[in-house]
Amino acid sequence: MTLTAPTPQSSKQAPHPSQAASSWKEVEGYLEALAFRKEFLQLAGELRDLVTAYPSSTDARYLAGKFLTRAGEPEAALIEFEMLKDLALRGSLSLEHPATESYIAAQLEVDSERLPCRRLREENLGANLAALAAFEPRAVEELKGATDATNLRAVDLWGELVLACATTKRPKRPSLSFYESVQNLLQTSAPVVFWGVHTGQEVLCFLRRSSRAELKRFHYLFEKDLPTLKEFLRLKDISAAIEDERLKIFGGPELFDAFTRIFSTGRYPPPLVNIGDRGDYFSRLEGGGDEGRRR
Amino acid sequence: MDYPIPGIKRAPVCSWEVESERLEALAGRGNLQDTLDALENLLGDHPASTEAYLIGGRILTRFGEFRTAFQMFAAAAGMAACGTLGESHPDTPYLVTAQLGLDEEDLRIQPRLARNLGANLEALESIEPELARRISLSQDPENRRIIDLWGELIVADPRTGKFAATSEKFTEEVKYDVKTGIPVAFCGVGSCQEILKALRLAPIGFLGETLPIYLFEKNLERLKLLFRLADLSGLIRERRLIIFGGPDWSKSMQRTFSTLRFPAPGNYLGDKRPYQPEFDRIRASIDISPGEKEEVLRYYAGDAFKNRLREIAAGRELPRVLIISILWTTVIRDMGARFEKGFRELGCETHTIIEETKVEELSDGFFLRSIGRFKPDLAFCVSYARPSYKALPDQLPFLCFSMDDMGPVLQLPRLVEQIRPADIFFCMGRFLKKQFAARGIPPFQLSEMIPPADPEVFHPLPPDDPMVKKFSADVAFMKHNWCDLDQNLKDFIRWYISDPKNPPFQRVLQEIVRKMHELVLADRGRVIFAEEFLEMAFSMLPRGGLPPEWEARLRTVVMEYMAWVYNYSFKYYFLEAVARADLKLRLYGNRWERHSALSAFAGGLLANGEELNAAFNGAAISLHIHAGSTMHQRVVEGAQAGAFFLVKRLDGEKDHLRLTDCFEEDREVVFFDSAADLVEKCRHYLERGDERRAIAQRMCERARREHSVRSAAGHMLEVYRGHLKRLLG
Repeated sequence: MTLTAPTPQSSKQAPHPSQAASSWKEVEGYLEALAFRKEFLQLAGELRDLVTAYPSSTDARYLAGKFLTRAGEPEAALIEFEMLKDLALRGSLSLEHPATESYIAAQLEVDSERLPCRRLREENLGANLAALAAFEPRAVEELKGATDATNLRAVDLWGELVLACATTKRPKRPSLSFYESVQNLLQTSAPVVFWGVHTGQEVLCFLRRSSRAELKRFHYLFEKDLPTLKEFLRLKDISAAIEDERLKIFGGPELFDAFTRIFSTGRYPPPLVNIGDRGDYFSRLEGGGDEGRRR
Repeated sequence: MDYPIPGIKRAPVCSWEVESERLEALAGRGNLQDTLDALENLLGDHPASTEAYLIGGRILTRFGEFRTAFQMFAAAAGMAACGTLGESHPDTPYLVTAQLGLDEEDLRIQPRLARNLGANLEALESIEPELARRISLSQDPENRRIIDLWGELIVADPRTGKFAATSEKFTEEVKYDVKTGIPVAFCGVGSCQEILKALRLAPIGFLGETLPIYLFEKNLERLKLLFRLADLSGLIRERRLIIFGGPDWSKSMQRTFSTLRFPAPGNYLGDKRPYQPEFDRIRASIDISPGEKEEVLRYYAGDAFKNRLREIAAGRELPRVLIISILWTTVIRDMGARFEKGFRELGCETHTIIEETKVEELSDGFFLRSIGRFKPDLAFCVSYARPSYKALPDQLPFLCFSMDDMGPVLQLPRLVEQIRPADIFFCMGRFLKKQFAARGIPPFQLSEMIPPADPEVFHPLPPDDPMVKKFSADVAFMKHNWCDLDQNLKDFIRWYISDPKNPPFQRVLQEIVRKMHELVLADRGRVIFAEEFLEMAFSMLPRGGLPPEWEARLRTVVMEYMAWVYNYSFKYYFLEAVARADLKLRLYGNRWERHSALSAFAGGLLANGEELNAAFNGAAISLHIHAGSTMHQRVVEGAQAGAFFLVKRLDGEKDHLRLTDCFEEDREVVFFDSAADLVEKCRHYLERGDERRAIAQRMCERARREHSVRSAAGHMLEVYRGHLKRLLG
């Protein structure tokens, strides 16, 4: 399959001589037909020819990534998506880009050690665990030993790590109403408690708006499921927030003990804002909280 | 899969960001000619790269070279892969600026705008001619320009350079409404994008049912702008977009809702204040007056109606029959029409209630008004019964021909309290009859019936008829398909057992489906009835069972597995055997071209009527393969057309609708037991044409005599009369 580009009047060089297709849309239609018929060998051959003939074309890379994912070749697809990232104009790749769906799906299908963003994931986790170790060494040991989450993974979304759901193959995003409802809270220093990691973006959103010196806000994150917490810690280097105690993390089976221990010092203000469903945690925490306040 | 990309894996030939910066720097020095030269080189080197054109468009816009910039952007939009360029693309502001810097004529979209306007006005003229005339005479609005945003037309404001974008919040709100079946009303055209988005989002149901979107807009200029923007003619004709516009918008609204066919809006978007007082009248106008309602009910409660029933029972009067049909369920619509014809042929007066468009939701008032005007002596419907039509007078007998084991009346745990003594259920087979009996229906309100066919539609054709030649085949099978076994299973899993809210239950379901599928794959030609699957599923439940709502869900999952996976697997198994035997096989119906092994035999969708009749005539052998029953509507139709049938034999006791109750084995119809037997019998009867034709002729004669629409309507009338006699003493 070859492609003929449209020729603007100003172009002095004739485009590719073949007349097989006049746009990437047509190429896409042709590849779609091959994928639909499950003719994956021919599909791979066509994709290889395309990226060889048009190595600088983002459309070629996008189509190669998309159809290699469809053909069950996520590692090869990720090579193409990395090329796409290198090539693309700034700002042209976003959540709305049609490549996003395949890009996320391909990252969820390969082993985590084969992910292009593996280094960033491990660097973030390492920095965050090192910061956390100063306060919660036992929790850090448990986190290090925890397995990877099965239904959740920190993956790259065009330059930013996000949590993606393995079932829906989509990045997890807070609802639109979340951003609306916390708009005013972000301007205050009211301590916030997060009952669970959820999409991960809720905690990061609050942390982003609390780094200024005049707005020190305490954030408490509860997450019973260690693999989920571990994946969250891979998202971003938030070691600064952990170190200056803007973020206290209570994770795993020991979280209730840690909660009691920390609040019994009387140094931390009780949370005033709840994010998430506290039902799973609250009944056991009530005792601990009371104890902390009594002392 | 081998996917080597030698030498280019990690070495991009050029980074577009770097190229962009280089050209921007050149442009920044203000030398247009140098920039153009560099741009030409870039385009020459990368003629198939969208980015080269985008960079060109952006830089030329900066130089004020709008015409060439727009050409560059148009080239990029034309060549880019689907969806890669959109509102949020960083070059969008440049594209908008370039277009607003040009005259409208230069955008080359005028013919498209004129085409849209013409098509929309023509469609509206058939519904609201005065409004269409007024819009065509109105001016174009000031301060609004239509521009091309990556191939899609949108409205922009030339003063501010801003274009109309829809917010994510709006999209979410509309998506929620339209997906949950809430009709939306737009108060004003707004930026036009909102309404276009809503029209795109409005889902079309499995059977084609959908929702209307209402638009209230007094301002004719704005309506004209919307009409130029997109071709909405199909949506206007199908009433998926209903416009109340211009100075007479209120009268038009009254006229529409007073037909009692359209649902009231559930959510109003935009500024509703200019229309508010009139909105409050919509609810009232979709119902009939209490006086009119009372008059109808009084007639049915009175002696006049009782006397009419007595006359009908005695055979001195023929009943007036109200056929309640449904537009988007083909089988109900077609079967309803057949019975209507049958009753008419017997001399009964008939009237059919049916939606005219796929957005309608006939109100209770509509039913009562129709009944009040026609004064029927019985209501008839296929697969639906009184519980679906609560407005019907209690005394009006309801006759239901139940053809479907998933019909709505079969999903109610108890039915007897929701029907009336004069109602009768005509069941297609013993299985359905048993199901109604289990819901408390007394035996004297139950009867069995074979689906009839219309001998005027299905009849033998001469062998040299061109249509017979067109549909010539050794073996034919007429039923819709979904995809193939693997894909059917995947789709079933995606639709029915993906329940992220309830992981433990999902795991149980997955395990049950895995076991059911193992059972099917162990012998794909084996008949497995619902009872066996259900028994297996419930035996696999964890100790303590499931909460009642999950039990119902499990039952649904099992039935849907049968519908989407097992039943297809059963058919595929025999059809694949015929395909392997090198016989000229034809598969008619939807989606056979999607089947990985049988796509070569796909014959396409047939129109129910002339084409279906010709296909039965053109095939030497017609197959009936069904894991639930040997009798089927298609068999009666084929028999009347003179088809020779080979039918998969089922265990007589479990066969839901026995073909042998209607036709004699080997004399009128032939059964096969296994795939090998099927292939052998196909070969046998293909070689012995006379023997085959004689059997087919005997079946044809009997089917035309005993299973015509007239004889079926006559049987129904006979049962109805007997039932009335019993009730009225």
